[in-house]
Amino acid sequence: MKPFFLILICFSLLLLTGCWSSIEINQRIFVSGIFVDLAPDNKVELTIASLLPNRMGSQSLQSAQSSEPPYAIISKKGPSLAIALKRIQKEVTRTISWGHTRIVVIGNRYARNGITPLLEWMIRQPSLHLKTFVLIAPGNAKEIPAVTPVYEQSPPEVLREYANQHFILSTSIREILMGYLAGQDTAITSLTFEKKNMISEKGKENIWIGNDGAAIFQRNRLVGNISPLQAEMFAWVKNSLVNPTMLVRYGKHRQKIDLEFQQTKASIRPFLHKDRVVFHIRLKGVGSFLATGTQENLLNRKVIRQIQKEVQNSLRKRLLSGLKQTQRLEADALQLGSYLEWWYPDRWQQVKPYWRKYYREKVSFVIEPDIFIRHFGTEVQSIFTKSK
Amino acid sequence: MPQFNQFQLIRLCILYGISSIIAFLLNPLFQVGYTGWLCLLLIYIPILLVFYFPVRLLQKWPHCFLQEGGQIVSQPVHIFFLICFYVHITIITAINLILFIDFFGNIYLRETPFPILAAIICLATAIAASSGLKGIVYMSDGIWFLVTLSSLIFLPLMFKNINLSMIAALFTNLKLYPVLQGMYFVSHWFTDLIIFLFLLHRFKEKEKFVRSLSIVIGGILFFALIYWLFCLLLFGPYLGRQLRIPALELVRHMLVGQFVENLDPLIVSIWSSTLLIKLTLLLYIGTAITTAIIKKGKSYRRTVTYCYAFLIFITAILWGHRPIDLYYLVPTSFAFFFVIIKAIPLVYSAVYYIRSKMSGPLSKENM
Repeated sequence: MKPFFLILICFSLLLLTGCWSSIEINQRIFVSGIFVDLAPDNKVELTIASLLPNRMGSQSLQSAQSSEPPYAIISKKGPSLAIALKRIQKEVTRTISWGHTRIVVIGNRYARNGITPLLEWMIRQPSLHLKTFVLIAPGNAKEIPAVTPVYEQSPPEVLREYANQHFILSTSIREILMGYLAGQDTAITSLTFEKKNMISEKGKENIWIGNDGAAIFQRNRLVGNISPLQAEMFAWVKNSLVNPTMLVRYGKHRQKIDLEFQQTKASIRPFLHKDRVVFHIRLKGVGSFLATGTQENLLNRKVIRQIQKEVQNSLRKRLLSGLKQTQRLEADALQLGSYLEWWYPDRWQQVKPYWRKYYREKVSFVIEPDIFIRHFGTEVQSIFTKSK
Repeated sequence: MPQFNQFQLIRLCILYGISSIIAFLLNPLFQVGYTGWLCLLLIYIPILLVFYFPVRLLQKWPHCFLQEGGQIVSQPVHIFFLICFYVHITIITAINLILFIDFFGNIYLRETPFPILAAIICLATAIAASSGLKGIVYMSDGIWFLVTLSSLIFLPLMFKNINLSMIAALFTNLKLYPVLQGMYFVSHWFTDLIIFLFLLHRFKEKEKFVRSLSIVIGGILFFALIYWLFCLLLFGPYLGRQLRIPALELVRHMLVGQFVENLDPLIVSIWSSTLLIKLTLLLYIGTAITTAIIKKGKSYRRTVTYCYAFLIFITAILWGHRPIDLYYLVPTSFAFFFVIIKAIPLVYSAVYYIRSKMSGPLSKENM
């Protein structure tokens, strides 16, 4: 009996190697970015970008003049995303893998038409991560792969690092889904393309990506935009902003002061006032002087307090203007309804069916920036004080 | 003869308890929204009571519950109850196997046919189960270390992503009906633990059984609470109930210095071993019940183990082809059946108490 069991165990070890479902690493396409558009014929156009490992090694060895990019872009149209993807899969020699996808760029037209089918498809994919960042293209998303990846190896990597650094509003699939399923909305960073002559590319004209604020979504449809400064404030409120900078004007001559903020945090608390809801948004941060154009004595407590006040007023105005814009669009882009649900569930249940209308008409904001200037840099007084 | 100590019992029970809860059973707890934590806390005492009386009975009555339970409730009734336990164990083993294969098949082994995966897992667990309880207990000792270590290392990595503002909702969104609903659902998690009543005679220091039981139930609820809370603070209740395996997405959000991103295969492999221990233990108990029903000795155990594993394989194949039927049966008929199963040990305790009151402490002689 014993030899039989030993043979059985050895046989099972052969089966347990995982070879049945194995796909060799050189038989896979590791998709790093997905670009989704709505074609003029109303079909979905799916573009995938993936790195080409065979060219990555040679790129580093060859000179920068190499004309072969280390990434591939494949695009197909279809009546749905799944069909478009199947058409791509049929034409490539390797199996598509989503495990390394970290960026999704949505074309403007597709976004205006509604991104629910895209979200539904993404949440069902077992290997696609919900932490994947989403960005909005100014026109067609498929134009993004034409971007010159100066510091990275491929355009999706540029976008991934762009979102990862948290200098802009970074929105993931998870956050969009959370808002949508809770009956609220979202804001997603929108990109801008710019043609530039780049020295690194031998002076050739190339496309450069920039930030154009954020696109505001209502019921998963793009309905409007906010400016880059407003989008930055939204990122601050979402606790996902790192080291924002700001220019304030101070004194009789409205001289420039450049500041950077560290340890940025925000907290939100709703309060009920009769039939209205007031959201108290507290912004916290530690300020550092980057450069000052003022002739005032920056070691004077009164001066610093006045500068802090200017900073706080400026932050308040920026955030409030962004929030007013979302109210005009009836889109709860910061998902403030969730805070109402967390603190006052009964009121939330009452207003949930018509939350967006309520948000527009009955919601107001109290913004309380709590900013302290703590770091003065390595200079004691501004050199402008010498010319006083 | 008692072989294992109380710490081994605690480790084995907690691993057995949390393996399927964290993977498959957290999702329905999001149906009760933010009240899940209260359900988990409030269920502690009722579950402890359900197990307290049978455990007290086994402390007083030093015989093997499986072999000689008939001395308490009469042999025909005992056999009937054993058949109920047998059906129950077959159902939960097959369900766990199907869910395990569904998860693996969908994510990591898409091309491998369901019967092959079922056959390999059944064979592996049958080999482990046929080696006896000693192998299972020692295996769980090792995996316990890995599970606690991975939870301690990886869960703190989540703090960056979770929304702590949501904690307010845990105290403001309390309503009686969802709490009761959640408690009813959570109580089913512990039906599986009944199998340990058949094993207690193998553990030393029986005077510490009640203390160990309270630690086990508390430990399982604590692990479930931690994972549920992290999932809730990351996904919220609406997205949480939308995800089939929220804990998998939780693991995927772990990031080590923006460098190591795909940690899920590592954590999933650790968790998979806990589920294999659970399946092995279920197979072991199922075999023990079978030998008790057919009144065959230990010499048949190995053969019965493989036959029972084959039965589980066939059941899993039949249900695995119609998962929709299973999704319908689990919260309806099976849930009702599980409630009955939970009550059976209480019947033994009640009969023992009544009979001992009527005729003094029971022993083999006066039964």
